[in-house]
Amino acid sequence: MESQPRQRSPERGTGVVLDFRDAELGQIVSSLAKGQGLLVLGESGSGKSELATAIAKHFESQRKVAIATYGGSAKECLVTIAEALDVPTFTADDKPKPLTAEQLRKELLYDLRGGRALLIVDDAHRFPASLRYWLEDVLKQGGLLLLLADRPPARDVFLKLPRMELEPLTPDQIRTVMYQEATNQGLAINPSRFADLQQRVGGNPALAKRVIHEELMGIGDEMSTDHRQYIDGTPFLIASLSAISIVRFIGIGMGDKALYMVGGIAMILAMTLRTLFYSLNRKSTRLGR
Amino acid sequence: MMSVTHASLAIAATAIGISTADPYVLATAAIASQLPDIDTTESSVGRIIWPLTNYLEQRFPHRSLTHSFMATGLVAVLAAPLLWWQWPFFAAVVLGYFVGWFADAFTKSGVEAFYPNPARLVIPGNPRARLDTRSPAEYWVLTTAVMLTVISVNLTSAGGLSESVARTFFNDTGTAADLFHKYGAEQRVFVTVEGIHTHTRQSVSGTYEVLEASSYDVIAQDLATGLIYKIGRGSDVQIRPNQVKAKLGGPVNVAVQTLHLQEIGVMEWLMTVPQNAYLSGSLVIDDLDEAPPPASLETYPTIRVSGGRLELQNAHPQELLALLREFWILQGQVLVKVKA
Repeated sequence: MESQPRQRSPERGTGVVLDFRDAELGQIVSSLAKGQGLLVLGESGSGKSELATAIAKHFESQRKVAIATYGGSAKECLVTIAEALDVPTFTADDKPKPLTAEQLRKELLYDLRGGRALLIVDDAHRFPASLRYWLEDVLKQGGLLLLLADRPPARDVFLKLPRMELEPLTPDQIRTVMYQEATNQGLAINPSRFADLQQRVGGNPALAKRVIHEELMGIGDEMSTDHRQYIDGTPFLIASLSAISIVRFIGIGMGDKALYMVGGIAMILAMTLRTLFYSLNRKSTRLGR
Repeated sequence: MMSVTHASLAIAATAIGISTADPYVLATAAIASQLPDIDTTESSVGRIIWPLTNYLEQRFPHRSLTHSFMATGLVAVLAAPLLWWQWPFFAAVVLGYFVGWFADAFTKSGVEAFYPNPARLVIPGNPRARLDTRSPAEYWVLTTAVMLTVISVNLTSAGGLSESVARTFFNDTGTAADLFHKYGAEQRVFVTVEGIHTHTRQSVSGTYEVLEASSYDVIAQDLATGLIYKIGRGSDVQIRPNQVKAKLGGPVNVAVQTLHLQEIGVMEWLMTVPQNAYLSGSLVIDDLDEAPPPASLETYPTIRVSGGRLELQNAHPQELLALLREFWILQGQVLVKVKA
């Protein structure tokens, strides 16, 4: 299932990622073309924003499209949407005044209803409650929404849209992204180093590029663990250690005092390790030491 | 993780897991533990099998395909013929390979244990608590693994963990009896006893060789005097121990012969019996009433009169000779045990 990368905007090195998301792009486009909104989930760096841009480009010619991101101000966000949809942001009287957030919401709701325009919301997980409730209203009025989010809360508008997840890229695809980024940066890396760096990437194309940059700057020695494809094996280990306590009961059953003691000691050891691992396992979500 | 750490962990796991001290089996485990690293040319095994390593390296991240349960299964299948030869080698290959990659789950990057699922298995979940290659923590792991191997090999040579615990903590004749039942056929079993003589009320301290054992008592011969005692908790013992330390001695081979005796002089018969033999059985002696009573009352009665017969239990030929030199055996059956 190796897909040949087509050269597209090589200066940004993004084309390749979009190529690997071809299937997903097709799915989203066909769903939106049918008037069905979508929620697309993917970890940070999985290529959601690139998808958003590509989809906006695809629908530009058919209907008005706005890409919304939340940068800290709800009103600013509404103004950006309004400008993209050619909705006036000033009052129409003699002395034009900027519309209030309340007015903008109403105007936009009117413009978006019935799927006349497409609203793409990138990083929708950042949206504050006020905007989310508005998005829910848009949805109720038959507005066409595409939300892209990284682990959004399981409530309101996020629950009401059919959702699809962006699968992690395959090792082959990641290697291609890394290779292309290294070529763009003029960096020659041997396959062994690629294989080593790739451990820190998982299926995340943005991380694939980042590790190349870190390698370029010579700061990539520390093993970063930022991708999400990890399984914590601690519970399995503890469970199998605890299973050793079976020996203790075999010892009791067979009247073997020595086996009873050995099993008992193993059980206590397992319990000690469990306490240790539980306390070790509290992961800090902060960066740096 | 350094390859020496992988090797020492694999050796420790194999030594403990299948209770072996066989250097060839342990060496097999050490070699098998290096195999998962064929996915990088940085490793020595990767340099040896270069074409395969190069192929893997071009396509997969490090610690993916070869560091998985799937690969372990494959290794087990490939190593299966060893089962028909000597199973410990099969166990060493599989266990060594498994430990070789599983230990990497404790490192920062983790391993793709559930390949083809790309998720990486990590223990513990917190990356800061995981190991860095050549970090002090790794040297601790290495040291612990070596220590565990030494302990395990020692314990295995001494009969295994649970037996060693029994011998360390349960210092009674029951443990000595168990040891005798298990190894008595091939090895000499000694007990060092601290206790009291039940009849004379004198304190007893000495080392004895076990000749026979019931479930909780042993019949043993004092190494210094050659006298035989019954030691334990039963009602008929001569020595009641406070502490018994049992240990295994050198190899021994016991030759047994059953003799049917008929109309023969005691002296004449004993001339044909080796002087270091132990005699057990019963004899019908002419004029038994005239026989003197056994010499010592403080030791185990190796020669007894019971129901008109002479009963022997681990009696020495000299003992019998001293007592019944001139007597005549009408008939009897005797088991002659000789240690070689």
